[in-house]
Formats: sequence, structure tokens, C-alpha cells
Amino acid sequence: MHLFDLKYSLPAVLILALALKSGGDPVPQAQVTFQPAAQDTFYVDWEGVAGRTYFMHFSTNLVDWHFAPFIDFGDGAHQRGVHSDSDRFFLRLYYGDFPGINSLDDAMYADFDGDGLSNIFEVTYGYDPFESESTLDGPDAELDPDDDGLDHATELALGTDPMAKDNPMLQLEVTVD
Amino acid sequence: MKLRLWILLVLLTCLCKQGLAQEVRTAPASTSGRLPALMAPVDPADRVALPSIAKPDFRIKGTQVKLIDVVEAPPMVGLPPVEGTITLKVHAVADPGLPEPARVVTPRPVQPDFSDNPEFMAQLAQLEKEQLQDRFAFVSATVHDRSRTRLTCYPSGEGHTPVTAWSNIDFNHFRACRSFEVTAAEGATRRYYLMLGIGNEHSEQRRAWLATRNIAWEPPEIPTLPEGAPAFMVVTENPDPASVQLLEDLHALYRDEGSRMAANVAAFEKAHEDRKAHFIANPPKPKDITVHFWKRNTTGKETTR
Repeated sequence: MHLFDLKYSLPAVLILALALKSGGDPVPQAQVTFQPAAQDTFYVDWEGVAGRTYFMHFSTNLVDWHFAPFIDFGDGAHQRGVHSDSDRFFLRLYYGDFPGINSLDDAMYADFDGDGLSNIFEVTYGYDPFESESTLDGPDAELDPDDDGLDHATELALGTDPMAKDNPMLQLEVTVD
Repeated sequence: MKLRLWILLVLLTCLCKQGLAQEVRTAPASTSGRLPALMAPVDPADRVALPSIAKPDFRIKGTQVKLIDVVEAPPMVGLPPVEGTITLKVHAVADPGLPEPARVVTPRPVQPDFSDNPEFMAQLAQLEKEQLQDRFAFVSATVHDRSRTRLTCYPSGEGHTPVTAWSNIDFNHFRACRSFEVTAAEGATRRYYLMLGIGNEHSEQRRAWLATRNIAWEPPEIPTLPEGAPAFMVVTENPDPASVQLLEDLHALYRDEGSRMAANVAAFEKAHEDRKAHFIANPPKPKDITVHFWKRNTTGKETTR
């Protein structure tokens, strides 16, 4: 990864604004700044807008975009660090002014696509919080990638790890005399 | 009798005009062309210094793993795309505590006032005079069977009055030529910046391709040009004089630097073929990707988790 190539200034130009505020023009979003920090590493900073929810998209081919595993909210300085070993790496901010979202907790635990999984659960485990079927494998809530018999909706309700075989029912020991 | 004389006169006039337009020309022997000296390599000391941390030490807080089918562009034109399934690992990590990069503010240089320095002003005037003599040359070249080239020059880059000529040079040899200079007998130097588009036409390939579509191939009418010394023939009537001079200067350059230009292109083409053969023998596979994200917070206010 070469930090000074055009590709790293490109995302700053290509920031896509997803302005979903109902009624009126959205408050303009300040540009994201990219700053090299170390080898293959750079800082991503932007000035937030009050009431605005921020996601970050990344891509290595400008076709397939993935959500970064965090959500940001509100005004003030947003500061992130990114390291990637990909030869090509692109970032863009993905944000919206959502009615009823007034805090970081609201943004994290809301369910924008209505699939039963919170936004923070979806971005943490690599799903799209705006699509109830992020993959070709079926509805996000019904997936069971750790194959422990509990789908994501159940794992979320039980507070178990959706990426580990930790189904409490499987851990019961039955002794027969 | 008078009528015959008139007919003869008209015929002679036509032949003369034809001769003027389609005269085989070579670059004047009194001119000399040369390629620019190689540019000095970039001094590594001029590059922006990054903290000398090869890879930050990450403390992983969470990981997501995806298998992704990817199709990437081939490393070279003509090779198959790079396809495969890669593993994408995305780690949420604690702030590795890298040093904040220094924000360098470069002071705006003060514009010195040399207006009262006659020596400097004279140098400046000379520089302006020299730069005004720089020319941009816009040329389209279609090389036929790597032996004859149809050239179209566009004076000042405009398409109104293009000048067309045939040359006995393989203009593929100009591939790496971006600028050149020609010094005329009187000592005047013309410096060109060359905007050259090169295409290749292969007769047999064209003939075979058209034959598959039942179309007869009509080869272009290429005028007879001598072998050996670089020569060209202008086929446009009343050509723009600057374009003719450009054609002469291109041929002067090739006369004086052609062997070096041909050797450079041959070396480039060999390296290209070697590289292609390497990729065919060792097809590249898409690489797995690992990404780390972390939160930095130098303000103390929580806007993120």
C-alpha cells in the first residue's frame, strides 16, 4: 500500500453523502481528511454534524463495499486509524440524519433494515445494516455461520457469540444412571 | 498548334503541382536532432518521511472474517483476469498509539523583487524568449507492417488543417520520445514536446480478419519511398509550413538518434514479452486482505465506540 498515490486522495473526493433527513436540505458535511501515519497506515478524520449517524465503507476494487466495524455519531472531531495490507484500498463515509436517532446508543442499537439485528451487531459481524439480506445465503437474522444451531437473531437475544459454537443447550451434560 | 501548346502547358503545371505535394523529402543535413538527457532520479531524501514503524503492534478487540470471490484486472493487457477466493479479515483494534504526524505548515515564499537587477531581468527575458520557442507537436502515426508510417500532423493540436505524410520510418521507435530538440544550421534550436498517438496495422491480420467476414481487403496506397535514410512524402496539398518543418525535424531526430531509439524500444518490447511470459508461467492469485480499524480520541469526547 502506497500512501501517497492518487488512490488515497481519491476517497476524499468521492465521499458519497447519503442524506436521509426528511424535509429541508441536510447540513453540509465537511470533507474527510486522510493523513499518512505509518507504513500502510493512515488517519481518517472528519468533523461531525449534530444528530448525524456515521458509518464507514471500505473497498479494494470500488465495486464491492464493506462496512467498517464501528458506528460514529454526532458533532465534534471523529478520529479513526486504518491499516490495510491491500495494494488498493478505498474509504468513504456513509452517513445519514435519521429521525429518532439522538445519541450514539440510539444509532448503535437501532435496526435500520428491520431484520431484527441491531446496527452495531451487523457492522461488527460484517453485514449491511441497510439490507436485511446482505449475502446470498439468506436473511441476515437467520444465518448461523458458527453452525451451533442458533441463528443470529437468537444469538443476539441470548448474548452469545455468533462466531463461536457456544449454544448453551449443546453444553448441557446429561448423565443417565 | 496553339491548342496543343496549351494542353502541354496545363499538363506540365499539373505535374509540377503534383511534384511539389508528393516530393520525397529528407531532413536537411544541416540540422541535427537529439533526445533530451535522462532525468535525474528522485532523491529519496526528498520524499515525505513517515514514522519508521513497519507495522503497528495491534491489540485485537474483535474480528470478522469473510470469504470473497474476486475478479481483478489482469497484470497486463491480453492476459486473463486474476480470479479466486480470498479471505478478508477485519479487525477492530485498540489504538496502537502511533505518534500523531506532524502538521507541517510551509510558509509561503516571499516573492523577491529583482526588477532593479538588470542581469537577472536579462536572464528572465532570455528564458521567456527560449520558452516561447518551445513547440507542441500533435502527431498521429499509423504504422503499416512496421515499415511505413502514415503520419497526420495537427498544427497547434487543431483538427482544421491536418497535414498527412508517409514516412519510411517505423514510428514505433518514437514510443518513448516525449520531447526532442533540433538545431538548425544557423544555430537556432527548436524544442518540441511531442504528443504522439501510435497505432499498428498488420496487413495479413487485417486481410484474414476481413476474409472471415467475406470482405475483400484493399491495401492502402503507400507511395514509393526510398530505403535507408529517413524520408517522407507529404500528400496534403498546400501543407502548413510548420508541419512540414516538424516532419523534417522528426526525421532529423531519427537520422541522428534512430539507432538508440530503436534499441530502446527493442529492449522495452523484450522486457514486455519476458514479463508476459512470467505471468503466463506464474499466474497471479488474488491476495488475502487484512484491515485494522481503531478509534483515536484526542479530544476526550465520546462520539464513537
